[in-house]
Amino acid sequence: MSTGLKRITLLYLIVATLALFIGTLFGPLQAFDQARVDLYPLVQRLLPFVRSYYHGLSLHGVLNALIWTFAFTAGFLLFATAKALGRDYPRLWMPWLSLVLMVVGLVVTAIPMLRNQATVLYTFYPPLQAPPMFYFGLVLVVVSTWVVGLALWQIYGAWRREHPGERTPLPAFMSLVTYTMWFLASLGVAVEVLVLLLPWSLGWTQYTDPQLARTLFWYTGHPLVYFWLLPAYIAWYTVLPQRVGGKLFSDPLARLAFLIFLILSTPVGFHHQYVDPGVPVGWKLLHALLTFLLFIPSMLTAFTVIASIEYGGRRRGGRGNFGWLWKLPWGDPVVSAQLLAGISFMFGGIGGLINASYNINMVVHNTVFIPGHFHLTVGSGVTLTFMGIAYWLLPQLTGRKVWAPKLAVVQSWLWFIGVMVFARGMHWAGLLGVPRRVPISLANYWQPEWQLPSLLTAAGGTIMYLGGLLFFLVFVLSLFGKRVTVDEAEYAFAEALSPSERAPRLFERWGVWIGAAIVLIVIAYGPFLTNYTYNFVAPGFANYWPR
Amino acid sequence: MSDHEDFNPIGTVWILVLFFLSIIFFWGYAYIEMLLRS
Amino acid sequence: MHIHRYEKAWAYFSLGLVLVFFLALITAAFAGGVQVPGPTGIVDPARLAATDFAQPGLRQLAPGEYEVYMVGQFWQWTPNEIRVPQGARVKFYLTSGDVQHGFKVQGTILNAMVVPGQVTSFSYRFKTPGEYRIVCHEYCGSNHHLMSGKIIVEAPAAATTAATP
Repeated sequence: MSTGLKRITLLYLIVATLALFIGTLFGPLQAFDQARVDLYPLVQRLLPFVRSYYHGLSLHGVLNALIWTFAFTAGFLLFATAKALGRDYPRLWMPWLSLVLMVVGLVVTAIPMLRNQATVLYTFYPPLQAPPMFYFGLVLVVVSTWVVGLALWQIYGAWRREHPGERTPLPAFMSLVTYTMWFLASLGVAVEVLVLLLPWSLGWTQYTDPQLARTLFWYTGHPLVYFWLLPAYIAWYTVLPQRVGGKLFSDPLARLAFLIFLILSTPVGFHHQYVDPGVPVGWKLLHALLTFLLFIPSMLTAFTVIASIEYGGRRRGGRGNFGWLWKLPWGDPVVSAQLLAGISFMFGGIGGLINASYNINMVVHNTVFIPGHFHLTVGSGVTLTFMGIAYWLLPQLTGRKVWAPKLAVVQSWLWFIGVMVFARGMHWAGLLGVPRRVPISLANYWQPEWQLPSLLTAAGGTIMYLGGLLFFLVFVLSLFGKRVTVDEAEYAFAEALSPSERAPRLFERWGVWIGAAIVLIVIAYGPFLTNYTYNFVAPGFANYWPR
Repeated sequence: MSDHEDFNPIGTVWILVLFFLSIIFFWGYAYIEMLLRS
Repeated sequence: MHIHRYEKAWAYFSLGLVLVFFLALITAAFAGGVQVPGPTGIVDPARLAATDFAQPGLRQLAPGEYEVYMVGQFWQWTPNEIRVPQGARVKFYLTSGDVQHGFKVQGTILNAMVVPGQVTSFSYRFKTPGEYRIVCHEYCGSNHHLMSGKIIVEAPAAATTAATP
């Protein structure tokens, strides 16, 4: 593998980790705020640019949910695909270009955000209005992800010409599915920003349609969570089984799960809009059903991944129903981070099913139940997996040992315990009615029964943050760690018990799957968009947040 | 017969049975909450 | 393609689970009346004076039957407090005069988005007397955390007392 690609991947990891570092700064502040301890006045003395809870929350959301995930995914999948295909990118300037776009996009987005001009949270719902720079920066970030996708298709094309008729190696196959799904999915937010918000923010148009903007946002907003999640699944399918001494239980079924994600990730966005006024009930119901079907590939993933790990545990001498669990190499941070991420993600899955449940959604919609849920999924299932993958990537990229692997194991446990306690508090508080995105310490409707869950939230958030700090420490010191010769076998992708040759040839016929995805999107959104009464009546509201 | 058919991941089945029951428990709880509040 | 029999069973169990859940949800929605809101109409937030939102407030339609028009606007609800007798069925019509807001009545299933340009509606029967907090649950700027109102549901005796001071 070329040093150029290693350099790109390493830079992506550094950008991602830097974003996470700044983004998570605000995490404990928000967690403490839940327990009615307002630390913002104190923080303003240290970081005078931070104006309010909402300002911190906007930075927290954009940097963690968008930049950390996008940058890490780009680095990880560019690397994994080239590694799996055993060749270099035909045009290495494309991954470089994507990196430059990501960095420029991040800087352009960050300037208005840091100046408190874009305190619109990461959902940036109009008619709250940010300056054009904010939207323009986000466009660059999304274009960067598209360039990564194009680079993946290029290397695949080159590999395919050299290997006609062969099955695509699994990590490459999955990376292609991830970015292809994202191509289709990101069109919604691209149209929202380019057609509705950017011209409106520039003053070229005076009014926008907030209901339409919400719909376009959530067209992308749900597949966005799969764009976060699929790279973590890729790690669980292709890295974790090998690391625990096992084998992937079934390669063909892993492919099938990903193809279902390709088809079903997008036509489900209305399940974020169950209580929106402008969307007909029938379409909400259709999206509810499709969302439920989208639960199946995750259930298949649970089976395949756990069975692959069990195979490893038994090869290591594990006996009985659960004895193999203790035989797993828990002392390896690559393993402990991913296993713990997986456990927290299972609880996240249960909450997700509740959120997706049509009318049950009214019990939890826009309460802290929702951030409680997504800290288990993207905040732990994905983020903690990425931390584990960072420990897997760093030695391969730098030729240096992970600094203090034992500390890295402690790190993963702190993050895991923290997020579980935090999420327990948030889910509970949400059921008691605490709304999300509110500085509860300042609200005028606090209830005594919120006290106990809020304390759990604050305690859990703090423990999580300590785990985060340890991650940054290990990450940075690993960049300067001891030089070692990297044993390729230790970093190989998992072999499969049921190999890829058993997968139907149909799985490699991209046109069929992409076509099916497009058809479903047209069915799920087409009639709505043609029957919708467009209503461009909302002028922009800029700077209506604490200055 | 390959390894795939010979290997019966019984521990996985047990973990997933527990998972399945947790889903039913938590989801059922939320469903009842919905009915009680309506 | 060969699928291990355990995994095949797991896939069928999972599919069965979500289908049963889906049936339970439809039953609650269409037989139990626990339904999500749907489109009611569109408005121009700059011209609410020309609509039913011109005079926001509670109106009695029949004994025990009410409707209320409410506007969410930086950073309060108008009206910010309504009183209804126990057992009243209230039909809500909500819209926004500026940015997006969220409407949640604590302790009830009432939970909806209030979006400029759209009318949100749903109805609810208040069976238990007491004070119900309305909170705004969508970020709407500076004083989002202070945007709350009240629905007071009066027991029959209290209602009589209130009528004869």
